[in-house]
Amino acid sequence: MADVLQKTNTSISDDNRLFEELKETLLREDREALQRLQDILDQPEKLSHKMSPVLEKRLSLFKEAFPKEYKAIIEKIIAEKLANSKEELLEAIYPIMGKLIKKYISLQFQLLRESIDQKMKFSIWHKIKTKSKVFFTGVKSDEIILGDLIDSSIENVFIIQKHSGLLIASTNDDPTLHDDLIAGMMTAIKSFAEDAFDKNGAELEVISYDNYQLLLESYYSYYFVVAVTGNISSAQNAKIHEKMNTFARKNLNRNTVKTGQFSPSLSIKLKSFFLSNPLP
Amino acid sequence: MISKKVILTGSFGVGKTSLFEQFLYSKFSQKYLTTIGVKVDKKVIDIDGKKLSLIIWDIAGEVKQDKVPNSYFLGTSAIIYVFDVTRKSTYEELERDIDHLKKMLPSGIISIVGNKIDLVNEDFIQELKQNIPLPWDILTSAKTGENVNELFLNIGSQLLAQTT
Repeated sequence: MADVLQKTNTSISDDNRLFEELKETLLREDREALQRLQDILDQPEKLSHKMSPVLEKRLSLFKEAFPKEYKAIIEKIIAEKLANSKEELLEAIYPIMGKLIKKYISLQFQLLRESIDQKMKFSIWHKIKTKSKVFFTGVKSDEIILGDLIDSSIENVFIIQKHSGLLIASTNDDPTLHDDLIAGMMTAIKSFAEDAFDKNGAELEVISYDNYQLLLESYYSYYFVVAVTGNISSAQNAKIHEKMNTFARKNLNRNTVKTGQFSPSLSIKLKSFFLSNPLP
Repeated sequence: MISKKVILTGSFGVGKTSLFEQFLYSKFSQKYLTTIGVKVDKKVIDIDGKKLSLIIWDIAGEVKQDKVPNSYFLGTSAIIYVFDVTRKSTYEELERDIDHLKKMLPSGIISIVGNKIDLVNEDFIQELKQNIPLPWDILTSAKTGENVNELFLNIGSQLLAQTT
């Protein structure tokens, strides 16, 4: 019985060995192929070498097909985005546009100056007149000529109590112009700007918009606002500030504005002082 | 004519601008309020034959009064502090806000105004009286106009009394 069992065990062991040998023979090629594939996957250079042609082909197909397939969708998305983000868009392009416009205007002014210079070379009288102005005022000749070309004038003058924004005097005759409200809003804007940006007790001195400039001169308890149209030269600007100082010295003191009441008599003086003569 | 600067302040949505517009004849553009946080308008009132020009600064609503720029309070003769009777959040900091305003305007007039009374009944007002940190000076409705003129005339009378 024991002999029979031993023979049977020997036979099974032989069968296993034969099966393993058979498996090795049959799968050798597959295993080698798998190993080669594993080697490629483990080494990026080899993988890249194999994959690149395929990817390039796919990519080129994608490039060709994408515009056809997705053009309409992308256009729709961009159109919607632009429609919903007009302000963002303006915010983004404004600095670039602003620079371009500024550059263009500077260039045009440069051309204008050159043209004026050219013309002035032939006008002896203007040459003498301008040279004498340059001599007496110290202002550059091109500024004087430009100033002559672009009319500028004082439109209105306001004297406003500094913190309350109450109007003390005004040259305004136009009943549709609410100068009380202008005085209040000017003071609010001035306070807002000074609160927001001031670091060293500085005060707002000028507000420019379109063809207007609002020149501000602050004193202890009141301030002046002079509304000017046109381009004023630095000499004219200095002259206006000088006029404000002169008027203040002659007509105003702390008590004049202390009550914050509008003064018709001061307004008449203001009008006569600022508006009776054109800008120098 | 005497002119006085009056500040209208309080939390957002309490009806300051509505009070202002109910009272004022002329309306200045709303855009300033959102741009620089203040809108200025003017109303001339007649008190016993004396004319008084109120230059009213309507300050954009802030949850806390110390967020309002201090410079806006300079040169002010009176402050109208408005709260909404129907919204507790607009008066629960009343004591702190009024303390702050008193520092800004130590010798001026500060008037506490409860607005939107058209939305509540008498029982509600009695209950509110028990719960509010400080008493109000007047209750108004910008919607119906109730007590709006009285508010500004009362302020005007106090301002005139100060000047005489």
